[in-house]
Amino acid sequence: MKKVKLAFQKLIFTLLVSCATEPVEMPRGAYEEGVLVINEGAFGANDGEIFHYETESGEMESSIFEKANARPFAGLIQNMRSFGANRYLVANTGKVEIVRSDDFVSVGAVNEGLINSRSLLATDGKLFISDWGAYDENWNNPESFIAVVNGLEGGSVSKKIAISSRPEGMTFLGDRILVACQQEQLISVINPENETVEKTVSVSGTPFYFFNYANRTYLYANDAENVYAHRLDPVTFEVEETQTFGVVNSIYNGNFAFTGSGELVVISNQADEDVVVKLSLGTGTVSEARFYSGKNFYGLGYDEATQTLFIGEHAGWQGNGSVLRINSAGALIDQLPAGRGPSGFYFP
Amino acid sequence: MAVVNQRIPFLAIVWLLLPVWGYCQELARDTVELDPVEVAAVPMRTYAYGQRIRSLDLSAAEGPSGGSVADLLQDRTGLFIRAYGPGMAASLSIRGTSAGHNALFWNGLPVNSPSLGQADYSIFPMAGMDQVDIHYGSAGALYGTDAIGGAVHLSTSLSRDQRRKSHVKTQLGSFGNWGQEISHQQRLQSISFRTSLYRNVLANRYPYTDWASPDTPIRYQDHAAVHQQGWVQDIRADLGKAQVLQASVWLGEIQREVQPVMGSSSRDVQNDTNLRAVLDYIKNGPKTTWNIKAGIVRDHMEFNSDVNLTLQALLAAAVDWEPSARWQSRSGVRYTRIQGDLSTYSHSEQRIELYQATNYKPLDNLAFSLQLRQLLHEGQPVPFTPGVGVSWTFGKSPVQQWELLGAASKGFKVPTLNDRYWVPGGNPDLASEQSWSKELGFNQQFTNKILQFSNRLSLFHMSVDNWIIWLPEESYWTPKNVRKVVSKGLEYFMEWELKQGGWDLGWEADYAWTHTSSRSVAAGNEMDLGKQLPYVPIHKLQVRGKVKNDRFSGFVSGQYTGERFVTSDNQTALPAYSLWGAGVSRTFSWKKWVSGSVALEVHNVWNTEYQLLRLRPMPGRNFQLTIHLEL
Repeated sequence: MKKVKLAFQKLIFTLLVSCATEPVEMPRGAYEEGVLVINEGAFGANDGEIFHYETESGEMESSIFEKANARPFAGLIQNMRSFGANRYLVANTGKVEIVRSDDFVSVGAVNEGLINSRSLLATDGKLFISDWGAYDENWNNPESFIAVVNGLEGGSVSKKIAISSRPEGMTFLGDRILVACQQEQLISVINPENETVEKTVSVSGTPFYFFNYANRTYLYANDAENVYAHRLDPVTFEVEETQTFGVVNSIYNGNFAFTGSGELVVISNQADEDVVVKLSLGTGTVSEARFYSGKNFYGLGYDEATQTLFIGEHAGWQGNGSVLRINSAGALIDQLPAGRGPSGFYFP
Repeated sequence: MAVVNQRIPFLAIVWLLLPVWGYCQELARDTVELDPVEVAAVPMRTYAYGQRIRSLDLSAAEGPSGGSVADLLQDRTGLFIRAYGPGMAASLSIRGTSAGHNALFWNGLPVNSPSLGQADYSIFPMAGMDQVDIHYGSAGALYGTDAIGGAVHLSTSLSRDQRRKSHVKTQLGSFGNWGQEISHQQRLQSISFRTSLYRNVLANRYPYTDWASPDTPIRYQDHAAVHQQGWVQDIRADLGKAQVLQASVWLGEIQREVQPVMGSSSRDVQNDTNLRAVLDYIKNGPKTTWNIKAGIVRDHMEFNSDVNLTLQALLAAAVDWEPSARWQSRSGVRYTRIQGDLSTYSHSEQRIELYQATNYKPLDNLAFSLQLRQLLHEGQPVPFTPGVGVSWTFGKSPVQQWELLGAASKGFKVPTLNDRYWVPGGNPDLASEQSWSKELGFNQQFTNKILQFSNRLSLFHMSVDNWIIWLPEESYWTPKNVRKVVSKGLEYFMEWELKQGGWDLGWEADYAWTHTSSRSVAAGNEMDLGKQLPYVPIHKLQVRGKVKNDRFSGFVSGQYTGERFVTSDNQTALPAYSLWGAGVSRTFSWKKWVSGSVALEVHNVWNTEYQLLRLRPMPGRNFQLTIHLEL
């Protein structure tokens, strides 16, 4: 009996050691591979949805939120962010849905207190949600705010931080949150601990989102004539350097394509067509003024693994759109069905 | 504005009018006095042999009379109303067409908004009319612009032999809904008048499943209240010598909290104030009837803080002429001035229309209609619009008759003011939308002392070209003539009534099968080719059984609406649904001077959860009590 007990203790010890040194590899969830297609949805119809493209089979699975939760998303998806094991679907119709990354099953939501939410950041058990606030009679948004939610799986808004009009993308830089505010063309710097705006920084162009390149934080901005890439000082948050690219009527739909090798990819709405333009941060020049062209382009995404560009095409908003896959040579690989207004892509 | 050269048809219209002018001059020299039996204009439907026109029996529809025309058409016909919620904006689809492809008239006045090109059927409460007629199919030659899928005619009717009558009606319904209507009618010598006032309140606090929130909680609609009030005035003056002057004025106001789509927290409000006024001079002669009409329609719409105002002024004259038992003719002219002061532009324009309609009956059982219309829009002709129909009656006996019908007609729609002048994006070069419609019909009627029944079957085929779609351009949306749609289908209507002892038993069914197919689409929309248009149900069936005796009446009604696609590529659809309702009513009288009725109705008996449009919940089971007094 004593031997049996000893053997059992050895077994337990062995298991514990093996668990500590060789963690069990959990299988990845169905939606942690492939490509997630963000379909914004049509105004007034609230038919935003997420589709899933399986790279190996080439199959596009529609409406994965509705399938996982047995209810429609019922909103216009402005942005999707990923923090920890959750994905945050930010709807500009005033809600945030929080789902598990692996199977898209809902774990919570923020659906009270938001009006026109745009993007989200999660840190230290809090959610910070940029929100344009209500429109006034002149279609301005004078009461924009950053909503603070105490809890990473949703809940009620605990505080609204008043901020410059039309806050859009957000990022961390150091221990501060930077918010791109469109209307006054500035960056607002927020201290997440005391939830106050500490300073603002003016920039050229209308700022939209932040991205990282070569261990530095950049801000994407544009106007009717140019695209701007502002490199930010990590301490003062001021603009250190600005690269200006001559691209007319570039659009921003809440998502963007960045190759990771220093190329920004943008859509330029031109007179009779939409043109995909490549910009090199390394040289500060337009590297390809006409990488690909067509009609009704709306969203972009770049799959680093396969070096494939994904273009969302909205079909004139008359129905569902499609996704065009473009190879590195600028040739169409295939065209896949998508939802209403495919505006962005996420590569887990 | 794209202009099509239509010189020959235009001359043909003028040529057709010439003999009428000549006849009219002759009339002026030779006045004939008549015993004034009932002076009335000849309805346009007179010239619609071969086409289907259904008049709704409003006396049997006392239940929904507190609602709107939208409710009536949804509940009582095979037509589909696209409503954004109870009391919210509602548009009509006839034969697979869009909201702007149907003409709506009130006492002969076109009341489609010239800026939107369509009517909101929910702002027309039943208190403002005595009769509703539905004309199915293209009828541009009869009614002018917008009548591509069909036309709906609302009209008041002031009887000259009614001395004095007052009505009071109160309705109480579920979800905080109520309505009141008061009307008084009187005749003073040769002048009859009727004044009606109404007020409807829809709190719309009904529960619904919130599919947009985790765990799909049950919530109560909290931003869908409707307050509606109005005044309708009818006056009729018998001038003698078979002449009558009649006027109607309708001033209505509706304030609405716009029910948000599920998942949105919008708090939009819309206030509409509508003034419609029409004046008719009618003179009956032994073989002619003159009708001179003047009217205005003023629509003031305030959406949040945006104000849109349109004004239509109309002046029209028509003469009906019956030279022999075999010929009947109408010649007319209509002038319209439109002024639009919208939130982003102002524009005014003029339209003049000449039209001619002729009936010819070579045999007692064979009749033909020919309709012609030419509209000049800002002095430029839009495509000439003809229509033709035939009716052949056969197998006629004292109790039964059969009828074969056929019609072919053209319809058109002048681009709306918003299509042409909205800033930004308005496209002044748009061409008119055009349709060609063909139909075949079959009627059967049986009548004896105790039983009446009738069957009506229509088959139609319609092609709409130059269909206008707003498409995104470089930095804004702009409308273009891009789509071509073919619509075909079948309509079947059956009605029977059995009289047994003191009881009347009745049954009616109205079924529509509508198949649409996009034949030409905008570049990039090839997936839409051959697909059914959004929110056009392939099947809709409405049935109604009724029973009645001297004091008691009751009904059971059912409605089936088939699957509706949400998008033009048919990838998403809303499920079919069935709704059932029932009601009982009892009449009473007290002393000699008060009579009335009490009615109780239940709608959506099985508490079916359904959406007419996606993510816009509709009410579940609800009750309505109506008390109607006549003094």
